Amino acid sequence: MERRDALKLLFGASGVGLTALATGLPASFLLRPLAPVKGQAACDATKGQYLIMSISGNGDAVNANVPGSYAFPDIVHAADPSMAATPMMLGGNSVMGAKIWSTLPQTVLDRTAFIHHSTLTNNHPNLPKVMRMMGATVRSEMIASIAAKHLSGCFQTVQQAPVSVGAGTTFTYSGRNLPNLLPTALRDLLGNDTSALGGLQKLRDSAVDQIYGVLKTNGTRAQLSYLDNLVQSRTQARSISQDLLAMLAQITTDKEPGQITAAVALIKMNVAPAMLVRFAFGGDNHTDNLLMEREVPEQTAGVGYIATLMQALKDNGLEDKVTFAMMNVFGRTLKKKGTEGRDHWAGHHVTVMIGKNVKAGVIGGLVPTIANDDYIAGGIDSVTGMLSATGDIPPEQTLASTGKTFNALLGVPNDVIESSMTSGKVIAAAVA
Amino acid sequence: MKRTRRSVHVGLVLAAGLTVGGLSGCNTSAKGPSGLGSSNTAGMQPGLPGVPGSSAEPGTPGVPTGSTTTPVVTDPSAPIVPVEPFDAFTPQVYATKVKDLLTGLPLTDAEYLRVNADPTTLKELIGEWMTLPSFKTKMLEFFTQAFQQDGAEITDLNDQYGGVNIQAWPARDLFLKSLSGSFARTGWELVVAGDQPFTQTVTTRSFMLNLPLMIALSYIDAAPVSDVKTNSVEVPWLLPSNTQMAQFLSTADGNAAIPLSDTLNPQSPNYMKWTYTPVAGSPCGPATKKGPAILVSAFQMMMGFGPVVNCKVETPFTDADWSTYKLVTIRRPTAAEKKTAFWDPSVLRNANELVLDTDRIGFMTTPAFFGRWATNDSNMFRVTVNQSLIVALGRSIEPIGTAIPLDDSNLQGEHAAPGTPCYACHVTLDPAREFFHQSYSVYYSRRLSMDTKLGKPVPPTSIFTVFNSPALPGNGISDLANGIVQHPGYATAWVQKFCEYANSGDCSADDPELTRIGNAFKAGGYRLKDLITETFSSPVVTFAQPTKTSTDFGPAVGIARREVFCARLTERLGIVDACNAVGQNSLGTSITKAVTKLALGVPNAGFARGEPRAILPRDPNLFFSNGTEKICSSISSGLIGSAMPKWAPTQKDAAFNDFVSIVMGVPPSDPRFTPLLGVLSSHYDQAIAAQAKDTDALRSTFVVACSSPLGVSSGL
Repeated sequence: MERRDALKLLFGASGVGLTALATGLPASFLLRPLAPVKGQAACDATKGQYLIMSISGNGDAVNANVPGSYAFPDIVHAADPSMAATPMMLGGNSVMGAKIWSTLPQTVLDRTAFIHHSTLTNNHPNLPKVMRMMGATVRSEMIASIAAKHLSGCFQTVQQAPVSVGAGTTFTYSGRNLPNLLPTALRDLLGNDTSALGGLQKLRDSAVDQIYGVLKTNGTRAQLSYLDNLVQSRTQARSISQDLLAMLAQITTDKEPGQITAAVALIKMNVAPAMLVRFAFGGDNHTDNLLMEREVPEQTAGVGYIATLMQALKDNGLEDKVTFAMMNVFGRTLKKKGTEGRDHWAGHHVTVMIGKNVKAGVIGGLVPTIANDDYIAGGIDSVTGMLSATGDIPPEQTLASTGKTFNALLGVPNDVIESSMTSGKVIAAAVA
Repeated sequence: MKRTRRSVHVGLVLAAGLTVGGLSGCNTSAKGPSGLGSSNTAGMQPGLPGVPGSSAEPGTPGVPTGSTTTPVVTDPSAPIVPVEPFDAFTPQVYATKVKDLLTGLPLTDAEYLRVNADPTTLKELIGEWMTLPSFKTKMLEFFTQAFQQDGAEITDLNDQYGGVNIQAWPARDLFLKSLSGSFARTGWELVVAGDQPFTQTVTTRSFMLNLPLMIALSYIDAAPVSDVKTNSVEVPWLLPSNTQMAQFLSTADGNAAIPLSDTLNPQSPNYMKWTYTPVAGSPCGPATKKGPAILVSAFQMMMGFGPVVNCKVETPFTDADWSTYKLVTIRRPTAAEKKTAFWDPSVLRNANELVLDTDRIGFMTTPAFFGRWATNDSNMFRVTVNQSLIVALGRSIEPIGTAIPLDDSNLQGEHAAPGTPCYACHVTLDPAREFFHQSYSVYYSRRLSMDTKLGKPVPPTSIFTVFNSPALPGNGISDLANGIVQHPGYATAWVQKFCEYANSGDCSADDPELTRIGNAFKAGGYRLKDLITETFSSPVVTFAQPTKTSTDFGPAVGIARREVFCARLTERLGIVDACNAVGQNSLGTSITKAVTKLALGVPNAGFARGEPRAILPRDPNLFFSNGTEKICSSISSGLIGSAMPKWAPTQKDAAFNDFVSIVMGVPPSDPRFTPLLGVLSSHYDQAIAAQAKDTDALRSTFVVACSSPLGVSSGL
């Protein structure tokens, strides 16, 4: 059931009017989520993508074993078969990466990009800053929130802000902290009330509307504004389709499988344009004996969860509508500690993007540090996507450029991107 | 929304109406409300009643003379800031808000009449509310959050208990709960019940501990984990070689219980023979342990984990041992004095002090805080000291530039070379972290001389100077504590913290009213009750008059956060632990299970690493809407038509009265009471007309009240 249909069933044309009358809100306000955000260009729904984004302040070693990170023989990988250099086809090119990545279906690899860049920080708490591209976004908006703000109008979602379904970290939308909702709690929260009280819900809504009326009689501006928000929240809650229940009922855990189901279900039901999850991918493995204690098992499981997510999207007809992204606060050292573990590394990180608008391939690459004790992200030629010392994206701009590219891959129009970010350049080579 | 240009002279020209006497300190200074100029009392003009050395001229920035404002533009080049007319909250709105925040209870009719007749009685009322039992509940919850004592999982404690299989403890949940609640109890006992200076929360060496916590703290001291993650056991009966052997015997195997005095007496034939009683049906048997493993087993047995895999044993703890907390001082031994032995509960049960080598001082040295903020040999206490400063001073150390060079391989050590972007951070953060380094290993055990892995000596002295405070040299955690409480920003930081807790939003750090309260707090000897009284009766919380905070952020109206909403249900409805936040909900298994999950959909206060401000959600969303409604629905079945009903359809009118006055918090004298009563009555009739059973109709009516804007919001 589409949201517009759900609203029609719930309110009907006169229903909106009645509710508006009871609450004191103009009818247009109740339908506001259906309209594009004021001042922004209407979204091209054929290009717009929902987002499922895995974020983590752990600084997982995503960067260590992806295609592009096997370019130098002294980059350290675990001596486990799952991390063995394995050829795979990305965008028509054969590249080497850990075997685990090659296990993804070719249809997935055909829309997967590994963007090598830096995050310019090596501090765990700076994840929010990285999400704000280290100061390169206007009004300190996080990149997923930039996209969500635009795409909510595009998809007419129930709410504009992203939903964290277990990401468990500080994430903001227009400066507001978003709550972290556990998948199992979502299941219980959004399910139908099948008790005898469930049948009296509409009567209760009517009574609460009357209470709004009492409170609005002498309310201050701040109170009236808040009451409007409260009304809208209830309206959003009532407009969720029954289809959600069947999917959410499958959730049995708050870990990755539950997050995947919750994210897909909420997108399918058009609740929000962006979902935040957390896929463990190696963790803060300063000490990781032979890289076998955390990195190998977590990355193997992590790629498996990506495959599970892709299959879930396909099963729900969303494979062309949802883009997956994975971004950490920083990458980890590639060489410095051998197989004893990996330290924080501001100089290199890899953002993984998988989606319809993604042109598969390896973007950017690695160069040795001056002291030749490790590797850092080099500059990028935005047209070819190749590593380039003389490219138009210098190393210091690779983060902001990744942010712009991220939004471009989600179908955010260029004018919105340019007005939302102050530096960087869309890497055209990553855009299909 | 009107917009004007912010100016060093711009102010809010207020229409006539309100008196100014009650707004001591609300002057935003002669340099305006923007924070661009001085915002302390030194910058105020003389003459404003209630504000020493200030002016009473109409139009003076921040002077409250009415409820509407007109912007004055005097400097066209100044940045544009939004200015909205100020709507003052009425006494019943802010009195309701304050009582709810402090106790979870609704305003009584008598209180409503008092505060409406004379708004200045709010301070008296706050004093009365602070004597109610529910105030303690609210403060314990606040302290737990504010001192960042919760959030650690049991596995987060592994570092501190190296070699101990803490996850396997049958008593792990009780233990973790004790741990996270201990410092809140300490705060209450010291600075509320004991009326000691609030600075004690930073400098105290006394903690509210139950017996298991006393034992656990003593164990950490007896088996410290060094920087190289080895246990260095220092108990007499294992020294000098740590090669002692011991037998562990189950009484279920026919072994007679051996007194601990014999077990530890080298002259006894039962020396190093430990006996234990297994839990019925648990797979236990004899075991032999050597050296430090003896200590680990002796400790774990007290937590119910036997010396054999999967073996559960009877612990020496009674229910009272878990629930009884007392103020215990932790101090170092004098020369030749014996340290506290963790292995003898009978002695510790009567002890009021622990004699240990480990320094425990203030909130930032509790196992709960250490568990929440684990460090390592790379981080080296940066997180620990930064979170300590966030708690105590409300500020986070930030580098001048957060971006660091891509290639720092040429920088020595931890890339702290002068002139680099990281330098500013390192020169501030790193000296401060050394205070922890001097006292603890990276696993938060007491520092041992054998720690060498880090390859550099622990500096004998360090300097505490953060956020422009005077430099204080010192050594160890005690000197860090002293540096923190002497920081010029300490008092105001706590005013701001309480203000933001009350408003679920920002309070302007440069609001002169915060400065005024902070100065008074300090001058009065840091009495917490004074701070609460002043802050919660201040216009920064009541919004009875405009302040810089209200100008910057608007009057605060928002959702009742989870802890606020759940406290309401608990206190107003007489339900034990309404949302099952501490696992004591008494409404029955199915309701308990439901509310536990549903409560997660209601956003709560929290904190995050590196975030100087608490996370205080204020906006509703669909999850909040569904969550609160379903919680109300769930508990309605425990209150109406249940085995022990609180309300019954046969007395529905009395129920409706309670729903409005207690659940919605609108007292009978409030003009909104009668129309709200009518709404509920009407809903009941409509439900009956819709063929609902009378019990369901009453439950549904309860849900209307409970999930109404008044039931789920703050500031209405």
